[in-house]
Amino acid sequence: MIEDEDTLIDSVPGHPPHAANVGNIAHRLRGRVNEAGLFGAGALLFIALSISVPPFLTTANLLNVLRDSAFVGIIAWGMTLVLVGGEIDISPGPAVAFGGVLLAVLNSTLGLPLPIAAVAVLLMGTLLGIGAGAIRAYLNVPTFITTLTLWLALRGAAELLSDALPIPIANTDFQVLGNGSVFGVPVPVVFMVAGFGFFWFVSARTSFGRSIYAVGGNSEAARLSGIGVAHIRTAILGITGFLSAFTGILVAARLGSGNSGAADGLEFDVIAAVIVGGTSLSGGRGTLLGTALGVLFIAELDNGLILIGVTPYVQSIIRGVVILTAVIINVLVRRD
Amino acid sequence: MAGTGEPILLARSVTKRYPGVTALDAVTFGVSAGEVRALVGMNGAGKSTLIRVLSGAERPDEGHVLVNGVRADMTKPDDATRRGIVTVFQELAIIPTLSVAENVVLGRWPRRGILRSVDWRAVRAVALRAIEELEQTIDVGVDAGTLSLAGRQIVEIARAISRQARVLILDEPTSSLSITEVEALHRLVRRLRDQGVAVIYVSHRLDELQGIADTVTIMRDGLIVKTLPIADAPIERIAQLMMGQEISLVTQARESKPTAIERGTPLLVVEHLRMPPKLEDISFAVAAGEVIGIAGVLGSGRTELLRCLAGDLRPVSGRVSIDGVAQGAGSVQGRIAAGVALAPEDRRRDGLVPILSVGENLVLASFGLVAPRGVISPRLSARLSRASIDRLGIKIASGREEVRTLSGGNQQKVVIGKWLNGRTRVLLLDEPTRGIDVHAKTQIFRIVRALANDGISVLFVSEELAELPEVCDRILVLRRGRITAEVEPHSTTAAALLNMASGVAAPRTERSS
Repeated sequence: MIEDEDTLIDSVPGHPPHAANVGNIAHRLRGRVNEAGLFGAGALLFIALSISVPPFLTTANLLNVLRDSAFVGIIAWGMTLVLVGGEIDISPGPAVAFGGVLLAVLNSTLGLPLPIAAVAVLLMGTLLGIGAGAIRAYLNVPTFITTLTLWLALRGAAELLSDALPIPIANTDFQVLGNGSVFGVPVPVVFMVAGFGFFWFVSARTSFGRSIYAVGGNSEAARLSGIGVAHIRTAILGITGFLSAFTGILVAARLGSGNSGAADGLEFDVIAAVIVGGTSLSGGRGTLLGTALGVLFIAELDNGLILIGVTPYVQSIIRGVVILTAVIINVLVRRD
Repeated sequence: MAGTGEPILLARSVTKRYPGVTALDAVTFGVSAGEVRALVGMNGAGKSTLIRVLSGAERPDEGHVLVNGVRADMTKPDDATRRGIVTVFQELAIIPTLSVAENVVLGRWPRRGILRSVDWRAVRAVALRAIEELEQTIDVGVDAGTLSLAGRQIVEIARAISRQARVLILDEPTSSLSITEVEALHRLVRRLRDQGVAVIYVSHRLDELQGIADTVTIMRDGLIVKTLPIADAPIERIAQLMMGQEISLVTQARESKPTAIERGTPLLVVEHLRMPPKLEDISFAVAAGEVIGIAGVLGSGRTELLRCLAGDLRPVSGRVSIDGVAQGAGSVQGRIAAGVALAPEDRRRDGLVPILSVGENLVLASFGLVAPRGVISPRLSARLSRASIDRLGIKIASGREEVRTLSGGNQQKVVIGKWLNGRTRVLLLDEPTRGIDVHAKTQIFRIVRALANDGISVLFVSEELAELPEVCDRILVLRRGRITAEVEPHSTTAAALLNMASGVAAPRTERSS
């Protein structure tokens, strides 16, 4: 499942390969098929769009695709851990809007310096996520319900704080976070890539990360193995809470204002990308690499559809069909 | 070996109450280093609760646990593991989506470097070493979910070994292992004992205790009845102490056995069934009211044979007919309609819906009867489940109890009861006595005989070969997917069956058909 696990395992000295390794190879290939397939599909789509839609293959357009995908991708890293852990978080859209509005209110209305306001927003987002996770972990209320509560309440709170009007943030330097570039690469993309590296390491190489897989695979077995199941459940929701708030700051920087209507439906873009990337909704399975491919594939598809001139209504239909197809293929591949 | 020095692990006057029951009543129990202590008792005697208390999975209401004479207040399993007390629980604690290697090191991944990142090389090495100590060969790279029940059990035992236990608690470790795996486990237990590890060994298989335990503690009704050196405790004595006043010996189960079976037109006929590599050219016939034992070791194809007959697996070729009517390629629904029902090996996973009530489970396979027009009739439903509860002697206060709260024996009765709707003609029982106590076993045997008297044909698979001559009219020996012999129950013993089934120095008895 993990990139390095399989390759390292076979190179252990003193344990020559034996007959069972044949099964191991087949198994390893199967574990990879879904990522390889998604990569192949993404590459084919890329080639097709490059040939048939000239504006697609331009630096400006590709950077735009990446920039838009960053707002989905950053949260998708955390969402992968949440789904692997057997939970779900449907609050990102409103949490992003709330984060942006809160930042604008703290800065423009209350006059707090931006860095302090930003830290406050991140803290708030993390605590709300931890709250949703803790209610799951200690009171056994499903995260679908606890995050549905956040989904409803945070959009309302954002509208309440802003009267449903954009609140401008005066500081133009701040907009660099949303619109600026580092060596030509949009800043949100830099955050997305850094986040990928960090969360890949967490999921594959830390005992915390492996505990998430254990809890999602069989929580009772995890508990009997001494893993703090409640802590894990609380923490993963805290992570998506943090990442949603962080994305809220980036979106506010991109728009130059806190906007209660921002990121409408973002949660489903995020969940769709993670699912297309091969993560199981029932927990225990999924990789960061798969999610990254899922994020890029969907961003590429959306961009292509816009460039071809497909109307938004038809876009939604096509997107739905593509997601369903991807999941059906995943399920078929995983089956023996 | 018993009682050498101070107990390394001691429960002192431990009491644990659950709503309505006192599971442990001021129990004092200790083990010393280098001792293998067998812990036996019927279901509900308090063994599991005692183990849960000793392993930190449950807190006692009164009394304490002492480790090396020091009071240890353990609130979670990790507290016990840290003190060197490692438990292999009967419920398989395996993460099916993770690799075998990772399952072995679960909760304590080897780590390296300043980032303390998981060292996958070491994960693999630790897992391989533990599995080698068990003399097993399991590919540690595959997902644990792909392993058989026995394979999963081995992974769990390997996990315990890799944690370098000072006290090792094994809860029914052999219930799903084959004979050779059991022997390897026993060798390992002896080796650990010689290294000074204290082992608590819970088992329903009284016949294995003589070879492995130094001492035996017998529990009944939340109390410790007696602790004896194993030399002073022959099986009959242990069984008697376990059951108290209740006299019910396994050998009485056959009282209802008919002396002569009328072998008229066979009810179930299987011809040249093939499903390589598991089954090769299987042919046999079963008369109505006949109980056929299948003697096969793990991996012999016994489970696959039953699943084939139940329509769950599709054979490559061959014919199955019921009452002279050839059956289609096989679907579970089709076979049920033809009267073939399976009580699967893993009853909690495949046989029951644990969170539904006893009554709901009992009508699960009979919606056609209790819901004639698609709407369930509470009256018909209650009547059918009541009939099964009475017929099988399921001990419950009401049909509304959730199945998961029942003992193993009662759960097994519910699995069988599900099929007693008047339509079932062939009952396939896969390990119906696994993990249930002697008393419940006797009841299952009686039920099987009673069903046979009512004209139902039964195929009976059991790892405990000694059970087959007790309950069956004929025994087919299944070895590596082939039926290699047919035996009359009165002319055989468990040892002879084992020889034939495992093929160890067995004269190859060809069938006389």
